[in-house]
Amino acid sequence: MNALPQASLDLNEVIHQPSRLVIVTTLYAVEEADFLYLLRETGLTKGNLSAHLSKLEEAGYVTIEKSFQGKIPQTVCRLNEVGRRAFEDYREQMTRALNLR
Amino acid sequence: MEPRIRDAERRAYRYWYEDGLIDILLGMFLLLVGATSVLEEVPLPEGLAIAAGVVRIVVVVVAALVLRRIVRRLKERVTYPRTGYVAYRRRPGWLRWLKVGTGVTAGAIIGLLSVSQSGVVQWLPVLAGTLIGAALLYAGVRFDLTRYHALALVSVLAGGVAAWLALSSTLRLALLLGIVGLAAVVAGVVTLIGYLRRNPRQEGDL
Repeated sequence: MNALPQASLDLNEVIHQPSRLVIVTTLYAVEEADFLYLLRETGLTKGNLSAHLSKLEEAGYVTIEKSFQGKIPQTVCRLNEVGRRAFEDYREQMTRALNLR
Repeated sequence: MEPRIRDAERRAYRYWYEDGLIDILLGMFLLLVGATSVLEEVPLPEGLAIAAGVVRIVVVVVAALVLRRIVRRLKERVTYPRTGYVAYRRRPGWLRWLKVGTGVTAGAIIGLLSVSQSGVVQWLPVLAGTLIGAALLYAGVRFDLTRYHALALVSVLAGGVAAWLALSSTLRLALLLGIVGLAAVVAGVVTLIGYLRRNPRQEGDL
Protein backbone atom coordinates (compact mmCIF):
# COMPACT_ATOMS: atom_id res chain seq x y z
CA MET A 1 0.00 0.00 0.00
CA ASN A 2 1.38 3.41 -0.94
CA ALA A 3 1.87 5.98 1.76
CA LEU A 4 -0.79 8.68 1.82
CA PRO A 5 0.36 12.29 1.44
CA GLN A 6 1.16 13.87 4.79
CA ALA A 7 -1.58 16.50 4.39
CA SER A 8 -4.19 13.78 4.02
CA LEU A 9 -3.11 12.14 7.25
CA ASP A 10 -3.55 15.27 9.30
CA LEU A 11 -6.75 13.90 10.82
CA ASN A 12 -8.55 15.08 13.93
CA GLU A 13 -7.24 12.64 16.54
CA VAL A 14 -10.10 13.27 18.97
CA ILE A 15 -12.71 12.18 16.41
CA HIS A 16 -10.57 9.61 14.59
CA GLN A 17 -10.49 7.22 17.59
CA PRO A 18 -12.97 4.40 16.64
CA SER A 19 -15.20 4.53 19.76
CA ARG A 20 -15.41 8.31 19.70
CA LEU A 21 -16.13 8.21 15.97
CA VAL A 22 -19.16 6.00 16.67
CA ILE A 23 -20.34 8.36 19.44
CA VAL A 24 -19.89 11.46 17.27
CA THR A 25 -21.63 9.84 14.27
CA THR A 26 -24.56 8.84 16.49
CA LEU A 27 -24.85 12.32 17.98
CA TYR A 28 -24.45 13.95 14.56
CA ALA A 29 -27.58 12.14 13.34
CA VAL A 30 -29.78 13.45 16.18
CA GLU A 31 -30.42 16.65 18.09
CA GLU A 32 -29.47 15.18 21.48
CA ALA A 33 -29.46 11.83 23.27
CA ASP A 34 -28.99 10.61 26.81
CA PHE A 35 -26.32 8.33 28.22
CA LEU A 36 -28.57 5.26 28.13
CA TYR A 37 -29.37 5.70 24.43
CA LEU A 38 -25.68 6.17 23.58
CA LEU A 39 -24.80 3.12 25.65
CA ARG A 40 -27.21 1.04 23.61
CA GLU A 41 -26.24 2.49 20.24
CA THR A 42 -22.48 2.33 20.67
CA GLY A 43 -22.23 -1.00 22.51
CA LEU A 44 -19.58 0.49 24.82
CA THR A 45 -19.37 -0.14 28.55
CA LYS A 46 -20.54 2.60 30.94
CA GLY A 47 -16.95 3.39 31.97
CA ASN A 48 -15.70 3.55 28.39
CA LEU A 49 -18.57 5.68 27.18
CA SER A 50 -18.17 8.03 30.10
CA ALA A 51 -14.42 8.42 29.43
CA HIS A 52 -14.90 9.08 25.72
CA LEU A 53 -17.68 11.58 26.36
CA SER A 54 -15.38 13.42 28.77
CA LYS A 55 -12.69 13.62 26.06
CA LEU A 56 -15.21 14.97 23.58
CA GLU A 57 -16.45 17.50 26.14
CA GLU A 58 -12.86 18.58 26.90
CA ALA A 59 -12.30 19.12 23.18
CA GLY A 60 -15.38 21.36 23.18
CA TYR A 61 -17.30 19.14 20.75
CA VAL A 62 -19.99 17.78 23.04
CA THR A 63 -22.19 19.63 25.51
CA ILE A 64 -23.27 17.53 28.48
CA GLU A 65 -26.19 18.46 30.68
CA LYS A 66 -27.00 16.62 33.87
CA SER A 67 -30.52 16.73 35.23
CA PHE A 68 -33.06 14.54 37.02
CA GLN A 69 -35.95 12.49 35.63
CA GLY A 70 -37.92 12.16 38.86
CA LYS A 71 -35.29 10.81 41.25
CA ILE A 72 -33.07 9.27 38.57
CA PRO A 73 -30.12 11.31 37.29
CA GLN A 74 -30.10 11.85 33.52
CA THR A 75 -27.14 12.86 31.35
CA VAL A 76 -28.08 14.42 28.03
CA CYS A 77 -25.38 14.83 25.38
CA ARG A 78 -25.44 17.05 22.33
CA LEU A 79 -22.90 17.56 19.54
CA ASN A 80 -22.56 21.35 19.56
CA GLU A 81 -21.80 23.60 16.58
CA VAL A 82 -18.02 23.29 17.08
CA GLY A 83 -18.37 19.50 17.19
CA ARG A 84 -20.57 19.42 14.10
CA ARG A 85 -18.09 21.54 12.14
CA ALA A 86 -15.16 19.42 13.35
CA PHE A 87 -16.95 16.24 12.29
CA GLU A 88 -17.80 17.70 8.87
CA ASP A 89 -14.14 18.70 8.40
CA TYR A 90 -13.08 15.20 9.43
CA ARG A 91 -15.45 13.64 6.88
CA GLU A 92 -14.05 15.94 4.21
CA GLN A 93 -10.49 14.98 5.12
CA MET A 94 -11.28 11.27 5.12
CA THR A 95 -13.01 11.51 1.77
CA ARG A 96 -9.97 13.27 0.28
CA ALA A 97 -7.51 10.93 1.94
CA LEU A 98 -9.24 7.87 0.58
CA ASN A 99 -9.77 9.49 -2.82
CA LEU A 100 -13.47 8.82 -2.65
CA ARG A 101 -14.23 11.92 -4.70
CA MET B 1 -18.87 7.48 6.36
CA GLU B 2 -22.07 8.73 4.70
CA PRO B 3 -23.80 5.32 4.93
CA ARG B 4 -22.81 5.15 8.62
CA ILE B 5 -24.42 8.55 9.27
CA ARG B 6 -27.55 7.59 7.34
CA ASP B 7 -27.63 4.32 9.26
CA ALA B 8 -27.36 6.12 12.62
CA GLU B 9 -30.13 8.48 11.54
CA ARG B 10 -32.32 5.62 10.37
CA ARG B 11 -31.82 3.71 13.63
CA ALA B 12 -32.65 6.85 15.61
CA TYR B 13 -35.93 7.27 13.72
CA ARG B 14 -36.67 3.55 13.92
CA TYR B 15 -36.31 3.89 17.69
CA TRP B 16 -39.46 6.06 17.70
CA TYR B 17 -41.47 2.99 16.58
CA GLU B 18 -39.68 0.37 18.65
CA ASP B 19 -42.04 0.36 21.65
CA GLY B 20 -45.29 0.21 19.63
CA LEU B 21 -46.76 3.28 21.39
CA ILE B 22 -47.19 5.21 18.15
CA ASP B 23 -49.06 2.24 16.61
CA ILE B 24 -51.46 2.10 19.57
CA LEU B 25 -52.16 5.84 19.50
CA LEU B 26 -52.42 5.98 15.71
CA GLY B 27 -54.76 2.98 15.75
CA MET B 28 -56.91 4.65 18.42
CA PHE B 29 -56.98 7.80 16.30
CA LEU B 30 -58.20 5.85 13.25
CA LEU B 31 -60.82 4.14 15.42
CA LEU B 32 -61.95 7.56 16.67
CA VAL B 33 -62.24 8.90 13.10
CA GLY B 34 -64.15 5.74 12.09
CA ALA B 35 -66.48 6.02 15.11
CA THR B 36 -67.25 9.68 14.41
CA SER B 37 -68.04 8.73 10.79
CA VAL B 38 -70.56 6.15 12.03
CA LEU B 39 -72.25 8.88 14.09
CA GLU B 40 -72.92 10.67 10.81
CA GLU B 41 -75.37 7.89 9.99
CA VAL B 42 -77.44 8.54 13.12
CA PRO B 43 -80.56 10.54 12.16
CA LEU B 44 -80.58 13.88 14.04
CA PRO B 45 -82.61 17.10 13.78
CA GLU B 46 -80.96 19.52 11.33
CA GLY B 47 -79.54 21.97 13.91
CA LEU B 48 -78.14 19.18 16.03
CA ALA B 49 -76.69 17.44 12.99
CA ILE B 50 -74.69 20.56 12.05
CA ALA B 51 -73.45 20.94 15.64
CA ALA B 52 -72.52 17.26 15.75
CA GLY B 53 -70.62 17.67 12.46
CA VAL B 54 -68.63 20.62 13.85
CA VAL B 55 -67.87 18.76 17.10
CA ARG B 56 -66.74 15.75 15.05
CA ILE B 57 -64.29 17.83 13.03
CA VAL B 58 -62.97 19.57 16.16
CA VAL B 59 -62.47 16.24 17.96
CA VAL B 60 -60.56 14.74 15.02
CA VAL B 61 -58.37 17.84 14.47
CA VAL B 62 -57.54 18.19 18.19
CA ALA B 63 -56.76 14.45 18.43
CA ALA B 64 -54.47 14.72 15.40
CA LEU B 65 -52.67 17.73 16.90
CA VAL B 66 -52.10 16.23 20.36
CA LEU B 67 -51.26 12.70 19.15
CA ARG B 68 -47.51 13.27 18.97
CA ARG B 69 -47.47 15.06 22.31
CA ILE B 70 -49.28 12.18 24.01
CA VAL B 71 -46.83 9.68 22.50
CA ARG B 72 -43.92 11.78 23.81
CA ARG B 73 -45.45 11.91 27.31
CA LEU B 74 -45.91 8.13 27.31
CA LYS B 75 -42.34 7.65 26.10
CA GLU B 76 -41.07 9.75 29.01
CA ARG B 77 -42.70 7.25 31.36
CA VAL B 78 -42.23 3.97 29.45
CA THR B 79 -39.39 4.16 26.93
CA TYR B 80 -36.78 6.67 28.07
CA PRO B 81 -36.21 5.05 31.50
CA ARG B 82 -35.66 1.69 29.75
CA THR B 83 -33.71 2.30 26.57
CA GLY B 84 -32.87 5.97 26.63
CA TYR B 85 -33.96 9.35 25.36
CA VAL B 86 -33.27 10.79 21.95
CA ALA B 87 -34.46 14.04 20.33
CA TYR B 88 -34.54 14.30 16.57
CA ARG B 89 -33.07 17.03 14.42
CA ARG B 90 -35.63 19.44 13.05
CA ARG B 91 -36.56 18.66 9.47
CA PRO B 92 -36.50 21.52 6.94
CA GLY B 93 -39.77 23.46 6.99
CA TRP B 94 -40.58 22.64 3.36
CA LEU B 95 -40.40 18.89 4.05
CA ARG B 96 -42.88 19.13 6.92
CA TRP B 97 -45.23 21.23 4.82
CA LEU B 98 -44.90 18.75 1.96
CA LYS B 99 -46.00 15.93 4.27
CA VAL B 100 -48.88 17.96 5.71
CA GLY B 101 -49.88 19.08 2.20
CA THR B 102 -49.85 15.50 0.89
CA GLY B 103 -52.02 14.30 3.79
CA VAL B 104 -54.49 17.18 3.49
CA THR B 105 -54.72 16.75 -0.31
CA ALA B 106 -55.34 13.00 0.00
CA GLY B 107 -57.97 13.63 2.71
CA ALA B 108 -59.63 16.35 0.63
CA ILE B 109 -59.80 14.12 -2.48
CA ILE B 110 -61.38 11.30 -0.45
CA GLY B 111 -63.77 13.77 1.23
CA LEU B 112 -64.85 15.32 -2.08
CA LEU B 113 -65.31 11.94 -3.72
CA SER B 114 -67.36 10.66 -0.77
CA VAL B 115 -69.90 13.49 -1.14
CA SER B 116 -70.02 13.26 -4.95
CA GLN B 117 -72.72 11.17 -6.55
CA SER B 118 -70.46 9.51 -9.14
CA GLY B 119 -69.84 5.79 -9.37
CA VAL B 120 -66.37 6.39 -7.93
CA VAL B 121 -67.92 6.37 -4.43
CA GLN B 122 -68.16 2.58 -4.63
CA TRP B 123 -64.35 2.34 -4.96
CA LEU B 124 -63.53 4.99 -2.41
CA PRO B 125 -62.54 2.50 0.34
CA VAL B 126 -60.14 0.86 -2.14
CA LEU B 127 -58.54 4.24 -2.85
CA ALA B 128 -58.40 5.19 0.85
CA GLY B 129 -57.10 1.72 1.81
CA THR B 130 -54.40 1.94 -0.84
CA LEU B 131 -53.35 5.46 0.25
CA ILE B 132 -53.15 4.46 3.92
CA GLY B 133 -51.37 1.26 2.88
CA ALA B 134 -48.86 3.25 0.81
CA ALA B 135 -48.09 5.52 3.80
CA LEU B 136 -47.62 2.49 6.07
CA LEU B 137 -45.46 0.72 3.50
CA TYR B 138 -43.30 3.83 3.12
CA ALA B 139 -42.69 3.88 6.89
CA GLY B 140 -42.12 0.11 6.87
CA VAL B 141 -39.48 0.27 4.15
CA ARG B 142 -37.82 3.47 5.39
CA PHE B 143 -37.41 2.30 8.99
CA ASP B 144 -37.27 -1.44 8.33
CA LEU B 145 -40.46 -2.26 10.25
CA THR B 146 -41.95 -5.60 9.21
CA ARG B 147 -45.22 -5.05 11.07
CA TYR B 148 -45.87 -1.95 8.98
CA HIS B 149 -45.63 -4.07 5.82
CA ALA B 150 -48.33 -6.34 7.31
CA LEU B 151 -50.45 -3.33 8.32
CA ALA B 152 -50.16 -1.95 4.76
CA LEU B 153 -51.47 -5.27 3.43
CA VAL B 154 -54.34 -5.22 5.97
CA SER B 155 -55.24 -1.69 4.84
CA VAL B 156 -55.40 -2.62 1.14
CA LEU B 157 -57.40 -5.80 1.87
CA ALA B 158 -59.76 -3.94 4.24
CA GLY B 159 -60.36 -1.35 1.50
CA GLY B 160 -61.31 -4.13 -0.91
CA VAL B 161 -63.63 -5.82 1.59
CA ALA B 162 -65.30 -2.52 2.55
CA ALA B 163 -65.91 -1.67 -1.14
CA TRP B 164 -67.42 -5.10 -1.74
CA LEU B 165 -69.94 -4.92 1.13
CA ALA B 166 -73.39 -3.45 0.52
CA LEU B 167 -73.07 -0.49 2.90
CA SER B 168 -73.38 3.28 2.62
CA SER B 169 -70.20 5.12 1.57
CA THR B 170 -69.80 6.53 5.10
CA LEU B 171 -70.04 3.12 6.73
CA ARG B 172 -67.61 1.65 4.19
CA LEU B 173 -64.99 4.24 5.12
CA ALA B 174 -65.75 3.76 8.82
CA LEU B 175 -65.27 0.01 8.42
CA LEU B 176 -61.94 0.49 6.65
CA LEU B 177 -60.68 2.87 9.37
CA GLY B 178 -62.00 0.55 12.07
CA ILE B 179 -60.19 -2.50 10.68
CA VAL B 180 -56.88 -0.68 10.11
CA GLY B 181 -57.16 1.08 13.48
CA LEU B 182 -57.84 -2.14 15.33
CA ALA B 183 -54.99 -3.92 13.52
CA ALA B 184 -52.63 -1.06 14.44
CA VAL B 185 -53.70 -1.18 18.11
CA VAL B 186 -53.17 -4.97 18.22
CA ALA B 187 -49.77 -4.67 16.48
CA GLY B 188 -48.81 -1.90 18.90
CA VAL B 189 -49.85 -3.82 22.02
CA VAL B 190 -47.94 -6.94 20.89
CA THR B 191 -44.87 -4.80 20.12
CA LEU B 192 -45.14 -2.99 23.47
CA ILE B 193 -45.39 -6.26 25.43
CA GLY B 194 -42.29 -7.62 23.64
CA TYR B 195 -40.45 -4.34 24.23
CA LEU B 196 -41.27 -4.29 27.96
CA ARG B 197 -40.15 -7.90 28.35
CA ARG B 198 -36.85 -7.27 26.59
CA ASN B 199 -36.09 -4.01 28.35
CA PRO B 200 -36.50 -3.80 32.11
CA ARG B 201 -36.43 -0.35 33.69
CA GLN B 202 -32.87 0.89 34.36
CA GLU B 203 -31.98 1.61 37.94
CA GLY B 204 -28.79 3.64 37.52
CA ASP B 205 -28.05 6.88 35.66
CA LEU B 206 -29.85 7.55 32.40
